[in-house]
Amino acid sequence: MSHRRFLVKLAIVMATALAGTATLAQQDVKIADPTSVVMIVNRDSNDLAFMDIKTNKIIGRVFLGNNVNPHMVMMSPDGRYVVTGGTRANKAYIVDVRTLKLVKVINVDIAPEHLAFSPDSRWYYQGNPEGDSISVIDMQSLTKIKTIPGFAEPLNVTFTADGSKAYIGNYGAHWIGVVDVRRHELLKKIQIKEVPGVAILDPDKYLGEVHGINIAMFGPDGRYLYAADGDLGFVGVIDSREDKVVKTIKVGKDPWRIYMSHDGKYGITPNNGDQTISIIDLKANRVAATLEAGENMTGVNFAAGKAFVISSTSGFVYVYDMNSLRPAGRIRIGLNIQLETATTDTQDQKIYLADSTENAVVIIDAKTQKFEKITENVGLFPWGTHIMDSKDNYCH
Amino acid sequence: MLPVRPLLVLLLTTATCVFAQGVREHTRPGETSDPARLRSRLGDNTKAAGAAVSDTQASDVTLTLNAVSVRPIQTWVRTAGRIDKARTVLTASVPFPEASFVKIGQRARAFSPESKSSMFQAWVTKVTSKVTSKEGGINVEVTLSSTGHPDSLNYVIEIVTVRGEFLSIPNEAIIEEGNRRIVYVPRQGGQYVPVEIHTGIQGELYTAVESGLMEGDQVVSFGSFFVDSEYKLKFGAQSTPGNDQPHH
Repeated sequence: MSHRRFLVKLAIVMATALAGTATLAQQDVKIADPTSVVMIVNRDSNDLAFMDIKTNKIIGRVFLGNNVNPHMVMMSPDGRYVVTGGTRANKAYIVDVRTLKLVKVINVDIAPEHLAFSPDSRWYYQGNPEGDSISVIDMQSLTKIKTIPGFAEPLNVTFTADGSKAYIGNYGAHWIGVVDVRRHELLKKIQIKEVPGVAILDPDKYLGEVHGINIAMFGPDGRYLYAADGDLGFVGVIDSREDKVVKTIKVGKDPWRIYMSHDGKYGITPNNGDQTISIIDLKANRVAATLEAGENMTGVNFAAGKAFVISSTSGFVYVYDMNSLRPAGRIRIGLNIQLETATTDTQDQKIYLADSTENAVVIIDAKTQKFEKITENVGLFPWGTHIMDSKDNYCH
Repeated sequence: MLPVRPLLVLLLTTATCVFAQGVREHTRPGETSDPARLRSRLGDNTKAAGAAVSDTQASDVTLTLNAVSVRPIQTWVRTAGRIDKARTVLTASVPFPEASFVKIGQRARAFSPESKSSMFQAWVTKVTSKVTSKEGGINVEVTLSSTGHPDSLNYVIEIVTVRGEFLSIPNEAIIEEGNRRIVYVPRQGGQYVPVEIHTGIQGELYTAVESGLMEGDQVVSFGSFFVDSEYKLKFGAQSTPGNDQPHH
């Protein structure tokens, strides 16, 4: 009898202790739903800000350290972690989403910028453009397990849907690196088109700063990749089964990269060399329209059946109707400002644009093309935004 | 004046000795991979020593340690569904035992086979039990956050279910030997020893540990097979927590 009473008492004590722990855990949770926030990466305040999508209020902030200069922010597909590369600090930062605590800082290579997660959330590939390498971070142990060398200013990383391969855009060269994700090794280099002999070219252009390949992006079927080469002015279509170029499409001058429409019909290259956009029909693999655009374009977002093209230094966002493939006006965000990149909500209704010189996030209603500037407590020099599962998560 | 010639001779002799020492280190008798000879040379007290891994080996196999800690364990329930005429609601069935994990409000991700690269965010909005079906299970409705593709009728759905918070380790750390589950834990001096554990639910990336490890312990994830083979090479015929079955 006394033994039973002791057990009951013990159970009560344990239950009380566990309840206490649970309450503490609940207090620690800052973000219960990872889809409920817009993440903002602030270059000059060296932090990540988290804005509630419903209220447009900043509900949390993670300071990364002095002189970090975070570049791109991304959430893991499982919603556990948010990561960023500190370009000046040469470090990768891993933040726990629920508690908004900086849980790990990892040394990577020089000037980390763009990054990606494998679809299963297991691998975080951090591109290091100045180190010409990719740092492989194991998200189970939160450790860097490898540095893959041999790239030339690697920018964006694209994983296949099954996570077996990753395609790395090399902006300092004219090829895409294919990485075996099982071994984390560079398997192959795919050049989308032969680079013309330097003798017949403008040496300043071809022997100076290379504008190569920013990203290889999958088309709608998940089989063919599209990659624009800035210097060549072509988009290469690559069959990922054989990793071979099956077609090249001529676009405008100095295409920055390709962006895919959410309905899978079109890809758009903003061509900064001639201030146009090329709209590629992904079924026919040909240019369906070439339209005038602005200067220094840094991104394209799709929402409400339109494409929104960010012209960084003009302060305008150019709008195109994706049904008629015609211009649909332009939105003047401000004068003497600098716009960076944007993300689109998962409803395809709103665009969240980083307005760095005004320390603001501009929320554009895609349907009405009206916008609202959020300036309160955003942070200094917002460089990019990110929403979990958005189809327009990118950086520049 | 320094006596140059004797100094040179001394330097050369020293250098030769250092070099020779290095050679002897690698070729000394008894440096063998034969487990029987190893056991004989090392003696009984090495039973608890475990497999030794040098820094170079650890680097080569990217030996990675993971903390045993309490984490949320997710199971992604995968199924296929059909979209409605409005292109917003997917209907699918989920058999048991996965059906018991699915609840209204859970986050899901969906993509059509025609558009694998375009992932839709979605939510479980309705769950009904399949009473007519022999095998049981549930029917679920999953609502996409935006309108689905115009040409896609069928979708692959991944429902993200959080099973709770558990003391857990990465799936990769666990070596399955028959019905036993073995992990390698580090000890002092670069030694790794096998520990038998009892596991609970297995999620996408992590498995719950019911016994055998404490919070804060470290286990080998990457390189566990390497450590395991090293261990078996040394102690193959001996009784170990993970390998004490008689060999025939």
